[in-house]
Amino acid sequence: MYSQSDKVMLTVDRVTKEFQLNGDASITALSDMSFSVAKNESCVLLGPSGCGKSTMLRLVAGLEEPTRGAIYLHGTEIIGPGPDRGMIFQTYTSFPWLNVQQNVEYGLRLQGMGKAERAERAAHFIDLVDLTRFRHVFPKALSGGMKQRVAIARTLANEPALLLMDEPFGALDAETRWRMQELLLKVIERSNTTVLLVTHDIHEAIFLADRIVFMTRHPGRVLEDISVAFKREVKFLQKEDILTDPEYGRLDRKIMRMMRREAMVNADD
Amino acid sequence: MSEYQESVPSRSRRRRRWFEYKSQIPVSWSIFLGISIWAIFFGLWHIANLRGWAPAIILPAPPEVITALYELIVEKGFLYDIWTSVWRVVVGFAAACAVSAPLGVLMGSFKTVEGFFNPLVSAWRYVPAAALIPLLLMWLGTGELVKISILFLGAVWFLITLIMDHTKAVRAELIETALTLGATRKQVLMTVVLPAVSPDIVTSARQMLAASWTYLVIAEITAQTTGIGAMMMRSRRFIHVDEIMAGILVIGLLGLMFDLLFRLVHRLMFSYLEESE
Ligand SMILES: Nc1ncnc2c1ncn2[C@@H]1O[C@H](COP(=O)(O)OP(=O)(O)OP(=O)(O)O)[C@@H](O)[C@H]1O
Ligand SMILES: [Mg+2]
Repeated sequence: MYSQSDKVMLTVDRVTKEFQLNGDASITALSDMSFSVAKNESCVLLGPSGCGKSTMLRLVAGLEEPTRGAIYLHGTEIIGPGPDRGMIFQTYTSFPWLNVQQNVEYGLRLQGMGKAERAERAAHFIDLVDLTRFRHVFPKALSGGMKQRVAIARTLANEPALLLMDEPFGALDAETRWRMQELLLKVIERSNTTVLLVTHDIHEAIFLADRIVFMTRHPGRVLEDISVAFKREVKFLQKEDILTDPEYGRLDRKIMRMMRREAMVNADD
Repeated sequence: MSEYQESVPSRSRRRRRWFEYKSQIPVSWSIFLGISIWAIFFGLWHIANLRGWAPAIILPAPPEVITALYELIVEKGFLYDIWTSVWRVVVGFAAACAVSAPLGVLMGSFKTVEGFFNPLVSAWRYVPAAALIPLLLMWLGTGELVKISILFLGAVWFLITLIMDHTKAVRAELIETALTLGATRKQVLMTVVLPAVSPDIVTSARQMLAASWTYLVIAEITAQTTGIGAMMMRSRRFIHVDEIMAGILVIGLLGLMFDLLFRLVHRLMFSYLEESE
């Protein structure tokens, strides 16, 4: 068991997830996986394709149930989805029948919050993701990056304890992607959120993470828990600044080798 | 400055072609093409009549049909028949929608509801509503109820299946997003599934309405009393082919009107959707 200190927010305890296929066959997506995330930490799950990153995130969100083991948020077992764990998907999930402001207000409306308070809270988060000019626009008129910013604002407006993101910038072009990464850093900083993010982009992982949980190839387990310690002294808010740090290159090489090694195991069988 | 502007190639250099995959055409073209097909249709018909390809008594010319329609309306109270038919379609079809929309959405959302109702719905879908007419005539007589029932039974099973399939196609990520934003199952149904599927419900209704007119006319022809179909059967006895054709014309026009109405409603209600048609 992990220490139940006040700082630990999420505890994944020896979780195994098997998917039943047709007939008796089953796939083990995750096998005996354990890790934890501290409060205000940005933790990134990284690993080769198919290692079970999305599955892990869906388990934390409560959208799937572990076959064995358990997941705890603040020491309480997770048994289903809830507003304390907001999830952002790779595909666009803005509700097309609501405009930007109504989308951001969606979760608040479910709670029964009054109109004025809702609008005020929404305005704050819409401003945070730089969409104030577009608050009355419907999603059909937004670009991919803007749709993801709506999703971020909508999730944060709910003030979740934990922000879950599954390759949120995977569908975006390279330029939009690093702009969104910078924006996300700014947003995390300002809103004091704890983040669990899935990606297979090494640079995104190093730029965004305080800690990287590197997973083995299928079936997924934790291979190494990598601390991105060099970012503790300096806050990098612009991506180009981090690139020249010698520690960045070292970590990049190390993770790339791990990726290659995992891929080689793949080629052997 | 002006030299530069002159060197910009003018847009007209890209020629508009008649056959271009999936590209929009100007409204004027749509109108022109739409009128052309009807002009050719009536033209051929008129020529067939003039050349005597068929005896005039069973193939009257288009102007005679228009005259017959005018006389039907002015002298024979045809407007009442039209009104009766429209009223029956609206009532029968509205009843079918009122049953199939909630049922289809629930069946598409929950496997338990689907498992319970679908065996019944699938079987009834294969029973032609016309096959029930003898039974319904015995049970319900020749009154309004029999016509509305046939209309209802002709539309409801297909509508349920269509709406169920559209509901199943609502993206899982939208539902899961709502769940992680704190929605209860009931809230997901009301605030995600319903708004997501309602454009498709309106489209399904528009498509099924055409089939409803079929059942209406069948019902009116069998239980001859009032309505467009009954008028046509009366005219048949006196070999008034022009009147029969006037009836067909009216049914076609009404169908077109309802279709346009549905499209308009769709456009007004769901203006937030991506233009796809
Ligand atoms: N619903 C499901 N039914 C059956 N198998 C599944 C299901 N979801 C995931 N899997 C399997 O679990 C394994 C892990 O899948 P997952 O999507 O979590 O990987 P991933 O690390 O997110 O991959 P990627 O980087 O490509 O997104 C895969 O082998 C996949 O086939
Ligand atoms: Mg994935």
